Amino acid sequence: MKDIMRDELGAPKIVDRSSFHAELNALRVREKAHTREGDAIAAARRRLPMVAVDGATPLIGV
Amino acid sequence: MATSKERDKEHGKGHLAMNTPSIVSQQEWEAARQQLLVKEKALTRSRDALAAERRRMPWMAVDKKYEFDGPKGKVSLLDLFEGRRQLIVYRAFFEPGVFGWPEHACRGCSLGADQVAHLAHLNARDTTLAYASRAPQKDIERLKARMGWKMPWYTITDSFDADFGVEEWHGHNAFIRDGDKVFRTYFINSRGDEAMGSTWSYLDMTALGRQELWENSPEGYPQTPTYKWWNWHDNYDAEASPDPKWVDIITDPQGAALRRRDAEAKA
Repeated sequence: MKDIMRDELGAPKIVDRSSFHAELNALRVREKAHTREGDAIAAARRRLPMVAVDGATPLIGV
Repeated sequence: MATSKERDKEHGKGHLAMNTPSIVSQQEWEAARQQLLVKEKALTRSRDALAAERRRMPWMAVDKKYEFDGPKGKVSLLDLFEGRRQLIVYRAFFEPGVFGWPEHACRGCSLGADQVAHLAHLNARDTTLAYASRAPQKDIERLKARMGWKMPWYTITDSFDADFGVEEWHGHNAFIRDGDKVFRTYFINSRGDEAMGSTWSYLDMTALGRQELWENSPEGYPQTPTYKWWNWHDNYDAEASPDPKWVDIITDPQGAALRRRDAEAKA
């Protein structure tokens, strides 16, 4: 098996638990903002106007 | 299958009991959609950028030798990779004390398990998904059979859950290995967990991403042409490299259609 860190990847920084959590918490601010933006867009979808569609349009099914 | 009329009668709701938005023409609706589409596209780009940031996280060395119970006995965290490069472990709550025990796993975790995509696609990107709970294997086996779940599912026997932030609540931890050395690369929990289940949601949390050429990844990360590695879930093993005809279709869809028509005309 190829050694991924030496053969393929530019070696990422290896850190201890507390540094990892600090980085994770920093990125989490962006994660949360993204989640809120997704919620806001879903709220906007719920406020889109609607188009009347003929529900009697024939379709073939079972 | 019940008809809409039958359901309305049963539930006593022939008409929407709420304020409805304005009813507009197809054209006006399309205009409103196009306006919202600008925001939708921005959200998609922001998700891509976020995944690119995840790929630049430092890695946390995992030195402790964790031990799980599996269908065939004791296994290590390294074994959970099943030989693949990356591993995602979802901590599902199924054990004494959890609502539903012993018939069912936690409702939220069960809903999540129901939306796990076919794992052949994730596996084709050298990544394994595993579930882990504290229930014994015999209970996990019974639960999987009852609910029709196919993912590998292990029993936690030590401090794995406490050490990876999932002793009280669900969460996905992503790992990568370098030979026998294991590193934790990302963690998603809380609201972030509800989106998990699609092949892309899993790959986007890994250190290597989707491994497609369009992605903004650190220098030297494995990447292959976009779309071309996709296959039917029952055909990855049979087809070691992409079928040239599929590559043709995905590279130049219009040209491929023309060539097919020409070939059919000649036949």
